[in-house]
Amino acid sequence: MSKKKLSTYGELFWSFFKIGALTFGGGAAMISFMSAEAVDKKKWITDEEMLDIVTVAESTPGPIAVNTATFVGYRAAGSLGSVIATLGTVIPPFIIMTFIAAFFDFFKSIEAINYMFMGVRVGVIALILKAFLKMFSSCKKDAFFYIMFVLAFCAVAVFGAGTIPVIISAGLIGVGSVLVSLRRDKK
Amino acid sequence: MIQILSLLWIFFKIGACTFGGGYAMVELVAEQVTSHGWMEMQEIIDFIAISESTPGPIAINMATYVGFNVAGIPGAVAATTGVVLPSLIVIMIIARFYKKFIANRYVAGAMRGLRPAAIALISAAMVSVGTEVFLPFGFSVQSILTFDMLFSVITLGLCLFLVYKKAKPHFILLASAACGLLWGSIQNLFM
Repeated sequence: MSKKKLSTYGELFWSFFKIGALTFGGGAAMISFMSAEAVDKKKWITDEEMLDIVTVAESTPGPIAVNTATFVGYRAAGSLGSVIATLGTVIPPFIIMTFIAAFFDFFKSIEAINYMFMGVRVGVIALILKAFLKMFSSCKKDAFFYIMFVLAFCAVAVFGAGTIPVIISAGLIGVGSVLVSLRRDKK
Repeated sequence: MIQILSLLWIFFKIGACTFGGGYAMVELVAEQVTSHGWMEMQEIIDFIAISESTPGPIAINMATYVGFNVAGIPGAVAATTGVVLPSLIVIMIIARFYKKFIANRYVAGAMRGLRPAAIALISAAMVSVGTEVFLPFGFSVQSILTFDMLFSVITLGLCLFLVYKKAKPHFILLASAACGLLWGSIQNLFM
C-alpha cells in the first residue's frame, strides 16, 4: 500500500469521525457538514458529484447519513475507503450510546430525570411530527402519492400489517406503475 | 449467540427496509423490538429523545442502544453492523454506475412507491407513540380524565406551537423536559 493511499485512509477516517461525533439530528445536518469537508476542504469529490450522491443515498436502502458516508468514502478511496468512512461515522455515536445505555438505569433512578422524561415523551410526538412535515413538504404530491400514502398508513396503523411487507409492496407497486405506463405508451 | 445473530439479522432487515431519514425507521424498530420482547414501547420513546440529543445518525444510535440493552457490547456491535451492512453492500455495487442508477426509470418508479410509504410509516410512528403516551392503559374514561392527561395535553399544545414556530428539535425537547419537571414538582408538593 502506498504512503499516499494510507494517508487518504487516515484522513477519511478522521473527517468522518468528526462528522459522526459532532453532528446532531442525523441526515440533513450531516450532509451539509460532509460536503464542507469532502468537497470544499479535501476535494475528494466535486459539488456535482455530492448532489448525485445525495440523490443515490435517498433512493437506496439504509439511513441517508450512512449511505452518503459510504459513497463519499468509495469515491475518495474505493471499497476500503467506504468501509473506513462508515466506521468513522459509526464509532463516535456507538461509544456514546453504549455509555448511555450502560448508565440509563442509574439515570432513571433519579426522580427529577423521571419527571423530565414524562415531558420529553410528549415532546417526541412533536419531533416525529416535525420530521413528517419536512418529508411531506419536500416531495411531489400527485394522486398516486396520496393513494399510496393512505393505503400504507391504513395497512400499518389501522390493520396492523407488518412494516416490512408494506415497504416491499410499496416498492413493487411503484415499479409496477412504470411497467403499466410503458405498456400504455407502446399502444 | 442466537440472540446476537438474531440482532444482526433483524437490524439488517431494518437497514434494508429504511428509505429516508431515521424517523422512517422508528415504526420498524418499534415493531421488531417489541415483538421480540426486547424493549417496551416506552423505553423506545425515551430512547428517541436521547438519540436526538446525542450526536450521530439516529439509526446508528438506535441500533447501538437496542443491541446493548439486549446483549451488552457484542449485541451493540451486532445490531450496528446489521443496520450498516445493507448500505455498504448496495453502495459498493452501484457506485461504479451510479449515474445510470439515478437515471433508471424502474428505480424512479420504486421510489415513487417507497416515498409515500416511508412518510406513512412516520405518521404510523406518530400514532403508536401518541397512543403509548396518552393512553398507556388503553382507552377508558379513567385514563382520559386524569391530571396526567391534562399535563400531557398542555405540554403537547406547547410543543405543537414550537413546531409551528419552527423551533429546533433540541429546544422542543428542553421545553418539554422543563414541563415534565415542573409538573412532577407540583405533584410532589401538593399531592
